[in-house]
Amino acid sequence: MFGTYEKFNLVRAPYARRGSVIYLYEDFYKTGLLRLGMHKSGDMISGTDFLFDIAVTKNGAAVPYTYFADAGSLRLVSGDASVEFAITDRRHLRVRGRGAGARLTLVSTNPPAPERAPGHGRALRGIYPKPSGGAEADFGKYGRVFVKALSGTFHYEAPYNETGYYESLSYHFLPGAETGEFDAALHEYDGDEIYPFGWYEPFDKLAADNTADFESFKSGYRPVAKGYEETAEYAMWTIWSHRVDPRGYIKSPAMILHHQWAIVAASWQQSYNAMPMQRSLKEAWRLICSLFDYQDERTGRLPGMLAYSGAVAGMQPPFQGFALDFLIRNAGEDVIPREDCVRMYPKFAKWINYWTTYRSAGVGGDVTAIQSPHESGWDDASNFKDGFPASDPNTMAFLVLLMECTARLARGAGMDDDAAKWDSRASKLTKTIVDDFWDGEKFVTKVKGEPVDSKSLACFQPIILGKRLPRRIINRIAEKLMMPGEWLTEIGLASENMRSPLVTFGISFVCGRVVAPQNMIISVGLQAAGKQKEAEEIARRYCDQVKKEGIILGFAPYDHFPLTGEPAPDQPRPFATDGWPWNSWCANCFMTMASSVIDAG
Amino acid sequence: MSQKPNLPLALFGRRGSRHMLVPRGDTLWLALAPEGAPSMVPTAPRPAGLFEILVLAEGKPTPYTYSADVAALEIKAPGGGARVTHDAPIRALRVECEGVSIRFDAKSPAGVSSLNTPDGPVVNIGGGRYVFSARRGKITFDDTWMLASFGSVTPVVDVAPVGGIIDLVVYELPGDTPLPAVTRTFDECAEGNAAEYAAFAKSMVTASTRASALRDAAAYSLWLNSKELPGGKHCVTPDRITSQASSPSWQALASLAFRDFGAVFELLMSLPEASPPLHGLAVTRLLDDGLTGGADAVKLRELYFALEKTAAWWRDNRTLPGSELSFYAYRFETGHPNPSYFTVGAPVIAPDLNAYLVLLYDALGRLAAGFGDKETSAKYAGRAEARLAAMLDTLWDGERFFAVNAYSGERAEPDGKTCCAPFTLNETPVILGGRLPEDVLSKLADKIDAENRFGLGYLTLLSGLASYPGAREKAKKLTLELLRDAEERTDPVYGAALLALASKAI
Repeated sequence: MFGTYEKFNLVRAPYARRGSVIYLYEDFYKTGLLRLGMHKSGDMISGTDFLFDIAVTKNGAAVPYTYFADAGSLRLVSGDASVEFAITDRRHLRVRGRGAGARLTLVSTNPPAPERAPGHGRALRGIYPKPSGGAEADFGKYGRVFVKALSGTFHYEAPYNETGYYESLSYHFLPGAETGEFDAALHEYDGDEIYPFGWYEPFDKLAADNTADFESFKSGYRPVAKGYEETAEYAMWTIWSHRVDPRGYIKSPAMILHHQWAIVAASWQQSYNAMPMQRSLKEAWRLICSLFDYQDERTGRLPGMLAYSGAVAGMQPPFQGFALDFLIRNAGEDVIPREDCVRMYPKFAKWINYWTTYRSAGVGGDVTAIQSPHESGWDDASNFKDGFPASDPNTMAFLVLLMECTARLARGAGMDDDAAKWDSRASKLTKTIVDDFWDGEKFVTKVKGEPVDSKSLACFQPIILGKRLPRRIINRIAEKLMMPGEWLTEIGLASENMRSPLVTFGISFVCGRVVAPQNMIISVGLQAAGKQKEAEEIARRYCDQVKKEGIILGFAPYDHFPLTGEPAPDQPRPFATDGWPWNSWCANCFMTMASSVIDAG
Repeated sequence: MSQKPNLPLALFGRRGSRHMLVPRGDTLWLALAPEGAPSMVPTAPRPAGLFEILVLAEGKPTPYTYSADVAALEIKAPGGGARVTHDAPIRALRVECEGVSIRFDAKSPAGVSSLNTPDGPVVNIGGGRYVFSARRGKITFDDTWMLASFGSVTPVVDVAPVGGIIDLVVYELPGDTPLPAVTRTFDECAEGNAAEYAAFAKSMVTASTRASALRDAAAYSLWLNSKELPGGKHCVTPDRITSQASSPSWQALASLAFRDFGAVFELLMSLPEASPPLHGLAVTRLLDDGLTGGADAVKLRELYFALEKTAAWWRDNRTLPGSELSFYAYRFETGHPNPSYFTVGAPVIAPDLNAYLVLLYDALGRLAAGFGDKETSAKYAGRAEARLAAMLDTLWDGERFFAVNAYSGERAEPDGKTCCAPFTLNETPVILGGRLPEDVLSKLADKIDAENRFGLGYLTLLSGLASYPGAREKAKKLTLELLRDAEERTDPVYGAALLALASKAI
């Protein structure tokens, strides 16, 4: 899949597996150098002190290598010798050498604070040989690492400076003289006990098990449209490798956004991940419900993002209804297990009531006013340029769909009266959105009752209400979105009209770039509204770009600003939403579009 | 600028409140102690939500002076002034101004989101969430969102007087929380703060007049640098302004400054799993001073189980099979950055560690005896004796204690390069006092002098020395030397440990 001579390498796609906090990647700037890192501290890669350079060694000296990686393992090759890494789902990795040794050298890259020791051993707090063999090292907030040779030999060098810090740390793995091979395990854990790992299976079995695990994971998805099969492999691998196990504050398996740049399980993205999992409905439903384990008992609020260390401040849109509406349309009513209705109904109801209580616009009729753009999912869109509180029809459209799904849950729980009330509220809110927020050309956000003048793509996102909207509105939206030079570009829908003076392709999320989630949401919305042709056209344009460039969240559609002709600035460094890293968010949007929008008519 | 001498630290804060006023340059800054939800982007520990406080006259910043005590802070400026105090029960800072306007300027929009609400401006900044609510006064606040910058404009809260008066409440509250009602006057808040502080200070050990200044400083420092943990217990943190960190062994040492069992219990149980295992030392002091006499039986049991858990951890994780002696696997487990005996390589069987564990087992035996459990008491007393015997057999050469590598038995010789005074840790067994043979104790006492002067470890040595009748005068003399330099030290744990030592030695 990935490698020196493959279509994609590991510069943008960190190598990992399901359940792993360990990742390996090719350094952004040192071509060909592979590194090992770990995300559990929550540090971005630009701020972590826990990175190891990986060297293949012969007779003690580092030698050049090429590499190849698939779901099973990552193999470094130097002539006829190789060093191979395979990550387990039991908090350790294995490294095997044939005809070569390996060296892992700690590189603490984070710029030192004045009170901290300089040097590349900085992350190391201590290392000692365990009574039972092997060495345990303490890395402070990065936890502990235990390394043990299973065959061949292993030793470490960790010189301690007289003024009180480790200057460096190197793990050396050497092949046995007779076999020419070594095999070793590297465990990561917190506290004193190595995480139960069962047994050290033969290395090849581990690699085969990893491959089988990925194959099994893939079976949860519908086949994608013709021509996108290879890209779908990459997308599903990206999702699989970003699925983390419960740990710390995270109580159940969750999809994190990215190993290196955003080590968080974003609340609404769990539902994004559910959408394409139409052959694993149990898992899809679990993902949608998973955030309710963290619901605030007093208010009903769900956290914005989950980190191992706790909930991150902020809140994200009530996306669950949209995901369920889509799943039910594509996979039937079985998405919601009847036995779960009683359990989940009050939680869903409380979540809606949170919005209508704590985000009430004060004008009645379930009209809400958000307090931050993140609550709509449009972090820097121009429909929020007039500030907050803002009555945003997008958020309200999500609420409509959530109310309808809550009505389903109420019916499933045998509470038909409640169901009727939720359906009635959904209908009423839909009417409000149409009557009060459609200006004849677009949906408008309102601040203090006044419409915000905006050319954001957000103005059309209420299309997710599909056929609940009047036909004239559906037609007008479809018409406007397909006009060349406005929002539609060769690579999908731009998040801001290309004729808008506010367009930016710099450090920005949705004020010009062509971004995966917005293309997915609107194409799914158009499909729901009966505009399959337009939905497919948009989805295909975006998916073609992903096929070409990789599983990347957002793209600048041009190298210049169409309005002025001025060149667009380059991004100087990797950044979470800048188009560099492969991530699970883009991957799940691709899978939804490629499996359920394109060729789905 | 001036500060009253009864505000010994350059910080106005209160136990149980995140609000702080911090002097920086010529002005005060409003800040929140670094607690609360983690940030998506981890950052170095620092105070949350910094606002520079400016006093405005005719719309322009004007110089001001301030003074403070534990009750309130007073600002004086041309044409008027302001008073600030904590209203901890409602998580608020109370600000009253007369004749001037006041401005809170965050200086930077980084990471800020803000919103005008009917309650007043809400500012989410640096992990804190402020609500500025004017009971009297007019607030001006720009909450414009900065397109493409993922945040609000720089928050600047201007409050102008109405009828010459401002009555402002600056809340620190989680989201979706209604504003708690203001039920007390400013003066009632200030008096309440002073009374609570007085009660806190009263719970501390007494000291001779020569240590009275230290006692005041230590009391305020402990009061200020107290951090509430989930569950409501307070621990002592070394630096309230910047640090979220704390250490179990610091709690043990800080606890020595209290004569109230409840206060000691709260500190020890706030972070009960100590490395090095100093909680035995702290409980031994409680027992020696008779402070467990009227103690809550349930809490005493809770403390006992925590000590037992600690003892089991060292036995299970840091003791080789068949050995009576435990080892340090890592330097940081010693509480020192570079203890001299690690020259023999890890793991190290060290005399200080095993002395702490002797006290731990001894304390367990004494507590068990207090519960009437003779069998368990005898068991732990036996373990203490066996460990002490092993120490004398393995780690004592007739003149001094020394450490060895746990695997090779190689004896550690100080190389003179390490940053921690080489003798301090090897002489720590002096804390065992009368448990040691007289000649061992005497030789240890002879070795302890000002050359061992190395932070908290030295205080522990002197405390042990003060327990030895043959060295009390020496302990007193060395303690008095420390007191002379104590004014330069404001960290709460050192202050508490020194106060405890002064109480014992002088």
